[in-house]
Amino acid sequence: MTTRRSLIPFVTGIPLSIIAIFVLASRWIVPNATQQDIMTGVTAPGTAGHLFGTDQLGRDIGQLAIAGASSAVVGPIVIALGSMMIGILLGTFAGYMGGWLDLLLSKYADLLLALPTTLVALVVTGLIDGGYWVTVLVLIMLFSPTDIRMIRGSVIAQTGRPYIESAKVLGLSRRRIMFRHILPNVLPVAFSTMLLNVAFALVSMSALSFLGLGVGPGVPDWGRQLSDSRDLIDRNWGSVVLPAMLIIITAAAINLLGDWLQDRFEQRAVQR
Amino acid sequence: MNRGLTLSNLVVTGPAGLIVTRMDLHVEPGQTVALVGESGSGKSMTAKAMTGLLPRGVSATGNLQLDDTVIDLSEGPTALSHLRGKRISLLLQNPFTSLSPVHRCGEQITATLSPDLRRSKDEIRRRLDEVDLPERVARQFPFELSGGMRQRVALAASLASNPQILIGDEPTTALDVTTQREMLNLLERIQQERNMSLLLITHDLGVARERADKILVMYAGRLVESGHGSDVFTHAQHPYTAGLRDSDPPLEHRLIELPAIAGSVPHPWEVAIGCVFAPRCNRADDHCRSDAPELVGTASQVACWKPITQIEEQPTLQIAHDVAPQNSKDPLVVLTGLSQRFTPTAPLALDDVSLEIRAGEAVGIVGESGSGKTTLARCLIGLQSFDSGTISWSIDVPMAQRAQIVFQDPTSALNPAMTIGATLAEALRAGQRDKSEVESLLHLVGLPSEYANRRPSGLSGGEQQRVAIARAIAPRPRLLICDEPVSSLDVSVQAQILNLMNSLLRDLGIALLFITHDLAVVRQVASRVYVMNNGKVVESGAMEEVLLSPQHEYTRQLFASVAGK
Repeated sequence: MTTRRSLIPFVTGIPLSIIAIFVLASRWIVPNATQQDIMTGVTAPGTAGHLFGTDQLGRDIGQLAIAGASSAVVGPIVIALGSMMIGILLGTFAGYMGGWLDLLLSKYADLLLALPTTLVALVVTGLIDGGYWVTVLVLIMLFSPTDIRMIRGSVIAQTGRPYIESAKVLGLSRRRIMFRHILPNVLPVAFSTMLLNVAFALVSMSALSFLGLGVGPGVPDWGRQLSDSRDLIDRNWGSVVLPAMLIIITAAAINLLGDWLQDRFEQRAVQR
Repeated sequence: MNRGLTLSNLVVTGPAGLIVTRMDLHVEPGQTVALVGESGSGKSMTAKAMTGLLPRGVSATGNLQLDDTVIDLSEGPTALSHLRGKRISLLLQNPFTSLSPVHRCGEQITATLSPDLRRSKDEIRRRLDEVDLPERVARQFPFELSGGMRQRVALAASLASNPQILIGDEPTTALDVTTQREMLNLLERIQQERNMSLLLITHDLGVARERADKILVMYAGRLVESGHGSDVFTHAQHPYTAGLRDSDPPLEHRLIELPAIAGSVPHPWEVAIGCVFAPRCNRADDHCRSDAPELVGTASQVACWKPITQIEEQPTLQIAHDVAPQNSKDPLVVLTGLSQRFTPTAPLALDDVSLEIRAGEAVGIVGESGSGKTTLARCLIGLQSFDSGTISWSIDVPMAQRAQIVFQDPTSALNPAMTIGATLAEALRAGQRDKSEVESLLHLVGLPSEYANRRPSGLSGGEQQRVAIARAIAPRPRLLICDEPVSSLDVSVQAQILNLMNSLLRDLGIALLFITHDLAVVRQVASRVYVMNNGKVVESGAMEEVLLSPQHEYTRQLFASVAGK
């Protein structure tokens, strides 16, 4: 059991680093990914020069998937980072200060939490005719309440500990206690939660692009690719399977890594 | 036929290495054997191995023989499953966590019995009666009972199957001294009635000395000495046993300095060659450092190359006179009529408490859990508000320079994310002192200066407590409040910390408020003492007077309860 768990960083690290290379260097790896070739049309996987075949515009499915990595992954990372920043700021204040501020912030979080994520994202981006970044912004708002709650809980758990009481007795300012003493001890949990959020956001974003929101037409993206290729499944199964697999593998790998990190941090906390 | 229990050649191995090395042990029917040791000595792991309750990743080898049944421990926990809870029972330390919170006590006591006995009212009544509990307890949940009553329920549950041997893993450590005594008496009575073997695992030398027929001393996973009753301590042959005996603070007198064992207990797997105790032993030579001694002897056994012989002169302990209270000095802080109630229905946590602390004076507060002693400290330092009463300080300095506090658990008292140096520098700044003093501060508490770069997790419990003390004295407060500062430390380390406190008080002239449940500990530090019970100060006066002629009934009861002193 222990040995199998210790393999997780390697098992998840390999696909994640390949995807990271795609995100960072797709314009050099596949400069012509979006080039159309109407003459070729749809071809099945294994056609000469096209490992995963082509779509109805003659674009190479493999190249398109590599190019689509950045819009599939960058948005979720920004979402996770943004919502965690809100979570840390509001959660720390709510947890440490308590009282009416805590009540207000907690009720705000509850309110947001009651909203169905995908539906609200659909309505808002549909209403204001937004693109990719509006979707990202909406998802930041919708992801933040869980982060606020998580950070608030961890902060409360730290606040009762004697080292915080010692800091109070030394007469340190509230700001110093919150950000210098409590926050560093909350960050490990925040980081692993953030990773889990990346995985959730990746699936949410892909679902939204599948529904036609998010990235604009012609921009390569896994979710979009999946929806564009729905009709081709009998002629080129690769056009559906490849982006779907990429979404699943990335989300699962990030999720596993986040879980593993969380366990590690918890173990370390116990040892302390 | 009942021949007792024999454990032979027990070896427990964990992920980091050996936890218990070649351990032999025999308990006769009706006999009490105490297994004594500090944290990390492997005494609890021995109990767990004997009951097949080792944590994941830890395995045992060796033989366990109970009458004619021989069990090879290397076969894993299932080999013990038909003995555990039936012929061998285990009583755990914490009655707050060892009972199920959602089941009534009656159910828990008879859970191991046959189905028809399980629901029998008479059976439950008989079981409760044996541990001196009223019948109503059967219908109550554990949270409705006090700690002492819960431990009685746990005892009744572990006795339900009429075991031949009961293993008590620190069964009275979580209890207050007065409750502890009742529990030990009860254990002894039941043991005699049933002619049951009792293996008592404890860190408390007093309990072992008072109750055990045979005492085994463990250190870093090895058995270092064994012998009959209190002989093990009075005629200690192993330097560790002698050190342990001497560093246990006496109640009868105050010592100028407690004889402490330097350093701290190593992990068993860290000791590669030689005698485990050699690094801390002042008798050790090259032989001790290169070869591990075997346990030898018949009546009493010792694993030492250079055991202390009977003819050898016992080092005389320097007895000091109790420091007379400094009545001449001005009061530093005066508390008058302090009262506090946490919830409207709860009893008063503080009930009209008045006390004063003079400049440079060491004052002790003694009381059991729930006596209000910690609440008092928290009110004094401003961590807790109070309903009525006044606290008046005679000095006009910033908060940080008035009073500082040292808590019981050193591990959670230090910020795990900050280095020791950063923690101390921050405390110095809070007292408007220069952070260049970090080094001298570390030296003052007996730590090397390179510790400034370490984090708390890299320090032992005693070292962490030294850092916590350094942080508290950094702003040069006029009063240092210590709330049970040594109760989570090992005896040998406790002596070091008490010596450190005494020398700091002498050198810095800081007043001390020392809060503890341990009378012997407070005697070594304080010159004046307040005894608290149920939120009230029931007795106060000079240390010597209170100890020699306690006036209040509760104080007398407290003294009578101190085991083995």
